[in-house]
Amino acid sequence: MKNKCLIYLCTLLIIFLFSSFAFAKDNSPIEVRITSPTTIKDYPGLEQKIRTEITNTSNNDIHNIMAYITMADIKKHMTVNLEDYNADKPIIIGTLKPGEKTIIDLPVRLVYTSHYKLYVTVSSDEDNKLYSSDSIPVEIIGNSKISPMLVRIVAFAEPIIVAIILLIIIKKKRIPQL
Amino acid sequence: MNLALIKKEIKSQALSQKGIWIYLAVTLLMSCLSVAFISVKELSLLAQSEVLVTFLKLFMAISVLLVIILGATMFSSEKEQGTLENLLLTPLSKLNIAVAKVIGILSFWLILSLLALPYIYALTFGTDLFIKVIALMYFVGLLLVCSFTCVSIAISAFLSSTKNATLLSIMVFLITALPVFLSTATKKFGIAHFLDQTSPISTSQLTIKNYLVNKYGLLVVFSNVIPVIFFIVVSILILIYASSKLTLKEGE
Repeated sequence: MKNKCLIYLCTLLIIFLFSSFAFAKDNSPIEVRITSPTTIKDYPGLEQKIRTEITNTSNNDIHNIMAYITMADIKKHMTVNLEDYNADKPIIIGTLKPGEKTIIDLPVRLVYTSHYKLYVTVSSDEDNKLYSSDSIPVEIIGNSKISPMLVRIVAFAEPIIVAIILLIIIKKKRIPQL
Repeated sequence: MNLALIKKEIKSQALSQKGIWIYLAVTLLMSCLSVAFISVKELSLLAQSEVLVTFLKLFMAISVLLVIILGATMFSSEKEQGTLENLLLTPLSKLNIAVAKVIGILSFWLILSLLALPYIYALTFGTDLFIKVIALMYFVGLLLVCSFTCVSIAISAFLSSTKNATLLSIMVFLITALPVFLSTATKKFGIAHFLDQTSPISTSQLTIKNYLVNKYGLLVVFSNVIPVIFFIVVSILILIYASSKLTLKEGE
């Protein structure tokens, strides 16, 4: 009985130790959370402010903090050039005191049709770590009304018409020579 | 202004066999691009406004390159063939001769732009973008084409070799188009940033994108196009100066 109790106690102790170790590993000094919007689904050209809450969860001041948007195109499996989306300029936050929370609005103009994952990344000059929020899904809906048949007709007919005109001109020029 | 000279220039540039060969090549290029927009998987995912931005950028690049090559041969080929003397002996002023040559090239571009209209109609089908694209093509496009025509004709007036005039004109085009080849990060600072903000090519591309994709207002569009307007003024001044210096040297 004693042995069984001892095994139970040891098991509980091991679980407790490992869980606290895991907790310590997950406990990053900066918490980043996108508060709004939670999802985006719209047509190209949409201007959106990404409201983000950044909290210093450590016991020390964190200096030179900046936040910026990162986007991954999950359809093309590529990161995107944020200059095209007017989202290439980070917001400088400066110093956050222990427990201090700040809310920022990061602007983005969603212009290209695709499916994206958008998230906010925060970095500080003090270390090499990056702190990112969970991503929000972004769907920019294609609104193309191009008629493939019309495009094909123009693409095939026009060079033929120009070629016919060219042949007529060449023929006309040859006749006087004959 | 001598109408006969203008007619001759239009006939030799826009309505000549050489001109129609170029029209055929350009229509084939536009056809390939248009078919690519509907058949290539990656391109078919683009929004219609993005499709038109790509099409318009390509059309303008081809237009500028063609007018540069044609413009560079204007006076230099006359010098090489020895026909410039006859032209200078006419009662027409040198500036009038240069203007007639500019009109000849612009008429060539006008036909080129008319050939692009069916493609633009097909690509804007179902939207209200047709008028916007036409406005951009005949405003920004015409400014660019006019500027580069003036510059290349001026270069051909200075130089007596067609080959050199063409090479130098293309170099001028490449210098003005330099920011297009630079990376985004490079264009943010220093001389590259200055070039990007002042280059007529990159600002005209920005104008197209801001108007069609970003849907900015006319005020922003006009502020984007200021370097292009500045460039055309400078080009016209260069052409006036070059035409005034148009003389036959001994032995030519």
